[in-house]
Amino acid sequence: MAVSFALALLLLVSYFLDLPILHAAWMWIALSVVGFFLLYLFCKHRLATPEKIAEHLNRTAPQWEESAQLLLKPAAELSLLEAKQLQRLRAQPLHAEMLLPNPFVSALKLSVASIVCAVLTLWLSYILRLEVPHATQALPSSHTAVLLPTITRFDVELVPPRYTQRERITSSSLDLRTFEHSQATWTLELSQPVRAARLIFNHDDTIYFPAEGLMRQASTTLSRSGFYFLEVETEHGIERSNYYKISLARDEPPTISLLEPHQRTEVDLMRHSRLTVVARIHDDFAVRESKVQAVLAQGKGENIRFKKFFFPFDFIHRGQHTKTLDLLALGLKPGDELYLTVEAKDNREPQPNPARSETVLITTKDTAEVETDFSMSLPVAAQPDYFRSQRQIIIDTEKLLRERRMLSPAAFQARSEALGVDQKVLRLRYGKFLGEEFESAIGGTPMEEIEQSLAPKDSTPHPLLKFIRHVHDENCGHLSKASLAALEKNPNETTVEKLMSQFVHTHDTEEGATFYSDAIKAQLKAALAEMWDAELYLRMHKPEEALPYELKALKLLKDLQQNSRLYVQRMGFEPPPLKPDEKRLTGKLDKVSSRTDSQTVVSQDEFATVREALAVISNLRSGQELVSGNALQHLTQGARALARAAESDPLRYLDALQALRQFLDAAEQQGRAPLVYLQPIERAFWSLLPEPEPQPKRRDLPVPALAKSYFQHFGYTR
Amino acid sequence: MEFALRGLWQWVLWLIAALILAYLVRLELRRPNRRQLALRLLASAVALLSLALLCLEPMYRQPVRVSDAFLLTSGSDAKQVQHAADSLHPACIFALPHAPLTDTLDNLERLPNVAMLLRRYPHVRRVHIFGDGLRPDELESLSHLQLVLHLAPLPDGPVAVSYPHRIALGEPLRVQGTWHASRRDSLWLYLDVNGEHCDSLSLVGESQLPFELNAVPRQPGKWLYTFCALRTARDTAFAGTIPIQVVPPQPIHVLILESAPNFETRTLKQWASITGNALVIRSMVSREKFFTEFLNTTPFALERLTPSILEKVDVVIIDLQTLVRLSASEQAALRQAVEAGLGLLIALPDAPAVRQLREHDFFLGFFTAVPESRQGRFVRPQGFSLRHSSSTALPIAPLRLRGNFGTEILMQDEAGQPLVLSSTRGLGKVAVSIVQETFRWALEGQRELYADYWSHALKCLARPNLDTDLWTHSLLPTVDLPCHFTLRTSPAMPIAVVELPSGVCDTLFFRQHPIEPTRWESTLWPREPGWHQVQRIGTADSTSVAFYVHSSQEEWSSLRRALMHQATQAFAHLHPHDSVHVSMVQTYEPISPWWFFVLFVMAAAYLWAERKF
Repeated sequence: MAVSFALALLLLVSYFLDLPILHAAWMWIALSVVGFFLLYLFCKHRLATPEKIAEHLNRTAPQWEESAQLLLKPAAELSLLEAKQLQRLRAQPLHAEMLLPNPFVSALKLSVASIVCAVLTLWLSYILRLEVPHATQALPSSHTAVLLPTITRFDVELVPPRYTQRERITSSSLDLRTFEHSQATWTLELSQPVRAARLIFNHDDTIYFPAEGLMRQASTTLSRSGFYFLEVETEHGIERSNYYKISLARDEPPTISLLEPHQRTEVDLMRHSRLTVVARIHDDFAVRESKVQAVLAQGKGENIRFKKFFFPFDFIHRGQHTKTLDLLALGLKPGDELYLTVEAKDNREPQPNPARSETVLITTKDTAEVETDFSMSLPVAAQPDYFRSQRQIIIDTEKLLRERRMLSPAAFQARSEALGVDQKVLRLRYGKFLGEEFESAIGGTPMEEIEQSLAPKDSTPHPLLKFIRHVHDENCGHLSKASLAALEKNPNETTVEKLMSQFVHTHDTEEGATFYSDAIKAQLKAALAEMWDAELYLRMHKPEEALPYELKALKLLKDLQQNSRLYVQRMGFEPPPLKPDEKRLTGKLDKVSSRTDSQTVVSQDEFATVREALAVISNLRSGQELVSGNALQHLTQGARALARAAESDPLRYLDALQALRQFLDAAEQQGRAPLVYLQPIERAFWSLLPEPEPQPKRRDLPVPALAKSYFQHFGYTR
Repeated sequence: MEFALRGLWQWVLWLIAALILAYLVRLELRRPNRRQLALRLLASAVALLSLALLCLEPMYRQPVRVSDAFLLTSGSDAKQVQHAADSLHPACIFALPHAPLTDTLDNLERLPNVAMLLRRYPHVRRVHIFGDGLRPDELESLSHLQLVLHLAPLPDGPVAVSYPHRIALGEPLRVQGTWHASRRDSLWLYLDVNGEHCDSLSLVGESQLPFELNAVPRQPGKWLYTFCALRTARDTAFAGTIPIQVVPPQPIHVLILESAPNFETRTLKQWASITGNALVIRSMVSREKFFTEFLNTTPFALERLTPSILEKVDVVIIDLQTLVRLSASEQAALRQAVEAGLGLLIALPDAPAVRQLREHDFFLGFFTAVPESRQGRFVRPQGFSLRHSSSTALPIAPLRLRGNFGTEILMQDEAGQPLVLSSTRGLGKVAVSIVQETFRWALEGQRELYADYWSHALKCLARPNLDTDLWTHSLLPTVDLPCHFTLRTSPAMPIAVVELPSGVCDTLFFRQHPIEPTRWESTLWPREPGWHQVQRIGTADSTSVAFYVHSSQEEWSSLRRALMHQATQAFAHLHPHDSVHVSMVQTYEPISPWWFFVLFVMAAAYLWAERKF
């Protein structure tokens, strides 16, 4: 028993001596077994002497009647009484073997218990040893706040901004997840006085805890996401906590959607002068202010005036804001435009977030405005469809000839007549280019007759009439009707004026009023003459005879078009052609000297520190055990780059930064550190690096002499 | 009768025995007592002979009937084997260690390796192979056997994969291969590094599905990419390691000769010099007046092109005008340099005249250029980049190029018309280009595209590295499997050192290829998994090549099985033994030495006893 106790003691001692528990447990088992057998060997004789057994029997069983020692005495030495007592004892059923205690049973039990304990320890240590790698593989996450030894309590109270109407939160989890502009108050309880304690934000912003007492508080307003850590300066040095994340939720500006009116709305002021504006405004917290902005645009052309109005909403129900505008009260007149926008501000502090909706345009139709007619100066461009072209006339003529059999003579004649009118209209149109616009009697047909034929059933004038008849108004300034009639009577007659025109210089003649050259005029005239003939035969109901003239007219017109297209007026100075090949490089260049420039371009790689740190990590992971000072320096520089990245994206990089710092701390203290830390660090560094751009390089092509001579004869054999 | 001891030693032994016998015979003859002389002489001879035969280990010839054997390899189907055994009745069935256990076959015997089959069972002439087949190194030992294949169906997974082992920084790691799916399957393939997806691909279909994944490593070093396949049900169908060594690219030397300063050159200069390449630019400003610029290199005289100047550069970019204006000696120097490996890129502003084509046939004789009426054509060059960005169209010279026989198209437009054509001239290359104003890309901020274009063009043309060692090794080096190395190097008798991950070094000796004197081969049996470095003795450390040894044969198992299929089929195809019909073969069986020992003892005992009585 004593041996087992000693063994347990030994185990404890061995544990404190930092011997592996495994070995100690094995030793324990071995010593338990050995101890038991030693006990058995050495104590066997000492424990069970006959005297002691007799004494024990006397003590435990009353039926022995304190005379067990008699059995030990030799029979010769027994007195009579003793012999009698012995006989009595022998007559009784006595089970000495049941009463005899085996002193080794308890020792055996203890030994077995000891062995069981040892096996248990062994098993426990085995399990613990299995779990140790797990523990190192799982990185200490920053969610579980690992406190420094000098700190007994460290928690934070977050007061969200008043306008959010959220409750304050006190938490011991130091990863902050709150609203922008929250007030954070850290409470620090120390177990021993320290020199200074401070919080460092994003590696650049520091808040000091006041230097007195063991209970300290510091507070700040959080305006930037990122990370922070606690640094405590004690007599032994500086201790730093894990990194903690700060992620701030931004208060977004209100979102406005205009339900009514639609993007472009036209209102009839006479019917509805009231306009309802419905907007749905939503914000994270509350909408403090909302209004309708109306801009009234009045006037025409360059004379436009703008007026701006603001109206509050009439009533608000579940985020639906409604306002009814009286457009007449606004001063909206027909032809004016109104631009509507909804503006809103939320209750963010210190500055509210403003928001604007899209702009809606409200127009009113001005029915009083008269549509301006097209002027006579642009007849061709304005109404080209009313003409039949020469080609169309030809097609129609051919069609008429084809359908001749099916038509009644009257219908045939009517269509031929109509084609003649079309031909006339076309001729007049081309005649306008020659200044023949005042011709009113054509081919002997009275004007009224044509008008009648063209006049449709309804009252509106046929558009073609404009071209056939020149409608005079008061200030037209043209010839009087009488002189016109004289002209109409005999247009081809050689008058005295015509004879004289060869000798006098007349301005403002019809023919001279155009810009065309004589050649074009002559050709145009020839075309008109053909049209005349065509019209003549069409009106004589002989379309087959009119066809050659029509074709000729078309040919002339097309020629004319081609000619006018080719005609370009050349203006200005025409330089002689340059001869750079002859002239270039022929000057005197004695005094000009060649220039040579030499420079070495060194590109600055902004990721050089990251690259070096990554190379160090890859070396360490490939089996290099000791972390050299140089490697530490590179890793520290890489940590700086990682900290910058963690500032903007703490969720992605903070764990890696934490791991890197733990690795660096461990490496600085012990010269080596668990490589498990390096995996997230390597991943973070890798994702920091940009994708490299391709670079030119030389191919590796070891060519034997035979292949070399083959290549040299392969490519070019001349 | 054959003897195990052969050659000279056999004769030496016979001689010694004869000398001893002669001595013993002489002793017997000179003995006065001539009783039983004949018997004594006989006993001496027998004793000596049996002693000699004990040393010589005689064997006797034994004819054996040829028989079939089954060889079960990994992936063999027990049912199929049983069926075949019922119909063919093989003499013996052997199973290799990786074969699945089959208890139903009665005469099954397990073999540690294939070589044991021949050593132990020489009468086997025809082997039926079941399962996935054998590795090439195992097949070599079966070269004089007739193989009958009963191969298992191809496994599901990647059955062919190719990827580079060593690339320069900026080059893509391109993993191409074939995925085999025995029934319709839908998978996502990923290429990961450090736990991040670099590229992904959705594979849907059955049987052979080709795939390609790309990634650009971001840092020089040795990296392990992971190729994995996920089923739609989120279970990993496959995961394999792809090792890659990324080396920093070696900068090149570019010489640009131009007839007038050019914005194109300016942009090229800015891009190429910032990445450390050496540039020399000579632009003519007037007659015989040049503006010469040296970037990242020491200045030298460049008024005239000489062979020594051209030796220093890897690529020359020149415009047609300058090329035509070069003197005869300069042209000869340029021609000589191109034949020795220099790359030459000629920018064509318009079609060269027929006279120029005739005179400068070496430089311009590999294409025809037809002038095109349409001026100012804009095209999008293609064939140089993996990026699918919408590139801006570039103007080209009003020409239509057509290459002669043997020309290579480096860039083409959308319609497949060549834009940059190159032709081999000796060890070097000559190329013509009609693309103008690539600087538009650089100015628009499409720097990657610009870099892709010029790095591709310069990479194709640059003078090849003729003196380097080129290492290749067999696919998937694995612990305890032979890995074959091929080294192309010019020095005679190369010796290489392999550095194991643990830091232990191993020497690699080479066997010269019988036909190619610069090709050397060797075999390594890797013992440790991880990155190994191999380097020829006498070269700089920077030339060492890394290769990765996979830890177990379970990795890439479907690929390994497919490779064994291929190797076995190819081997059976190359070694047809159908014409050999031998029913009996001769084998030699050793005679037990106990017989000779007993003879010796009897003879010696007689000689001893004869003296006593």
